[in-house]
Amino acid sequence: MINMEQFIRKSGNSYMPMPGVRNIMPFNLAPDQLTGPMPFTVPAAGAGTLYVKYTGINNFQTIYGTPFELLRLVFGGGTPIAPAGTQDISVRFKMFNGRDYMNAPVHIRTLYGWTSATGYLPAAIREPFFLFTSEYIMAEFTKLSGGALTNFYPYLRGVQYYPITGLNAGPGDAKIVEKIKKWRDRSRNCYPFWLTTDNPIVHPAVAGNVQQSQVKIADCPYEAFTLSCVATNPNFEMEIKEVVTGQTLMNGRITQTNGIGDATLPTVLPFSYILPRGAILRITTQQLNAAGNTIYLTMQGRKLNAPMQSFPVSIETPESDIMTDADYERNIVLEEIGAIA
Amino acid sequence: MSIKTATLKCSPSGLVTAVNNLRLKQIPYWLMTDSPNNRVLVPAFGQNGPISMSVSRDGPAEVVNFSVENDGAAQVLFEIDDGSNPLALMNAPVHIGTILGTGIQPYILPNAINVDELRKLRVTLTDLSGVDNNIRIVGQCYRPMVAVPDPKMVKARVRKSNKQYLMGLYFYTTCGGPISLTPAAPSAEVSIDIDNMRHFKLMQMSRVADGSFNIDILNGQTGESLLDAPSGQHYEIPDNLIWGDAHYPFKFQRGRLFQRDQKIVVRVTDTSGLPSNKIYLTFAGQFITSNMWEA
Repeated sequence: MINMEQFIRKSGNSYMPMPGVRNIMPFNLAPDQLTGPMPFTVPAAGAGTLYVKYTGINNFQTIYGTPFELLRLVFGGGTPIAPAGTQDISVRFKMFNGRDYMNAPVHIRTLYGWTSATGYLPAAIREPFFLFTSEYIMAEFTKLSGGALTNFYPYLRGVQYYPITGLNAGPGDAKIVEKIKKWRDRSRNCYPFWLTTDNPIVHPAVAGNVQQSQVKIADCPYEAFTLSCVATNPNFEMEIKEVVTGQTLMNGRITQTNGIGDATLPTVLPFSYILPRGAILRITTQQLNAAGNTIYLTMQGRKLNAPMQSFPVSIETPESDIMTDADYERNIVLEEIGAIA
Repeated sequence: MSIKTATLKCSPSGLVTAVNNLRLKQIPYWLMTDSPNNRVLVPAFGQNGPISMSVSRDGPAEVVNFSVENDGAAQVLFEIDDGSNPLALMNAPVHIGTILGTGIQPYILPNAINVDELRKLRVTLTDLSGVDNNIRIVGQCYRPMVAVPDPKMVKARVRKSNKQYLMGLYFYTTCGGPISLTPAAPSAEVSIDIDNMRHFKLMQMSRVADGSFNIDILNGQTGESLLDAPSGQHYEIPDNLIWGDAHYPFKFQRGRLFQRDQKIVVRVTDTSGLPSNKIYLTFAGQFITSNMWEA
């Protein structure tokens, strides 16, 4: 998110936003009403898919329009604790130009945070996404099991920018317009991405059953920040290994209780994990009891469509004037879990 | 907390132009008790350990938080084993419910633990539940691999490794075990003796108890309380106001320093009315070697 302090000016004992940034506000972006007003209905399993379109606020076609910066995902509907119940939904995000934001549909509770009447625990995304005027993204919601969900409210949360001045919609503060321009350029090859196994991991009802799944990093480097999982049966253990280099991420096996979170409170990796193009993550799971299990595993992070290079200076190197480790990249992760006082 | 390395290089226009190769050698890592003991069976009211949690020669690891899956209550003792005298990270075993969280809400350590192929973490577990207890401990780590060819990174790692002998993670709990309150003896005053060679910077507090209680915390030497009421008074306040648990420990805005050889005194009074209220307190923070101050 853009640091706003530079746009605040002190006047006597009060602090005033500079004229060009008065219209910057927290915002909930609701879907377009393609299928009538909310709540939407997600059809029963096997009965179809709900397609939802989120359109950027269409206002003032001035320079960069009125972008919406997506920072959180949140939904309501159903019961939050039923593992295979009303929230058993897969989601896929696509942009209007065909760009995918996930390698396969992911389980909604590894992607969206939960809200109820009080709207708590949204899911954070790890790279802001700017939805510019007239742009839109599509979300596809498909029930994996059970009947239709009739009270479904999927929202995007973030910041709405109106970088304009006055009613004539002239260009606003030059500095903030410049920042937005940089974010637009950045989003061309750096954008949020959710990585999941090619297919959900399915264990038959056999104690000790072992399954192996894999995730392939196909086109460009990927940076994972968090890990989350939903399973119909929590009695399993998991090991993650990168098979091209043989790099293992653990000296044993983790379980859902001690090693993996969900979309609202994902397991925040102590250090983000860079996977180069061509890397293959092998996920080995073992069922610990005689009940069947379906496991949905998702990594939250961002795609970095740029070459891998050796940097001349490695430690404490600022990346650019709009994005550094210090002002955004790690802080948003660590502050959320309380690691930074 | 971790050695800081830039991930991206960006052009003035904002476009990401390169990803740092070096970052391929810095990975997250889950450190568990060594195989085949990922799951440690602790017999009812019995003990198992010490069990090693060790990393390979591929590189050191910095443990930043702990989580656990367990069948029942237990006490845990962490030590650093470098092949000679084990260095305990606590004055006595503490309740796992005070320092081991879960994958969703891990316990964030106030100071990371550095381990490498020569220095391993080891753990001893004691059951409190009275039934066989399966316990799986995980330490989530940052791990810089040794293949990193960057001299600055190597220097930074050596510096961190050396620093841990001067300052590092430490836990204190009440001397003499948990506090037991009963209707016949509803109040108690117990002390925590600070090591005579090392200062202690108190940063986090967490507790597990059978029921509610009121508590006051004092410096044993000066009589000064951590709880400041009007007119310089102090008195016991409900535990849930200033004590958290392993998921959300109470964190001080700034660390509170107790000099070496001092005592922390706690006064507690039962408010639960239970036949027995057993209280496990854990004070987490950093030890600071006193020689560092005298030098």
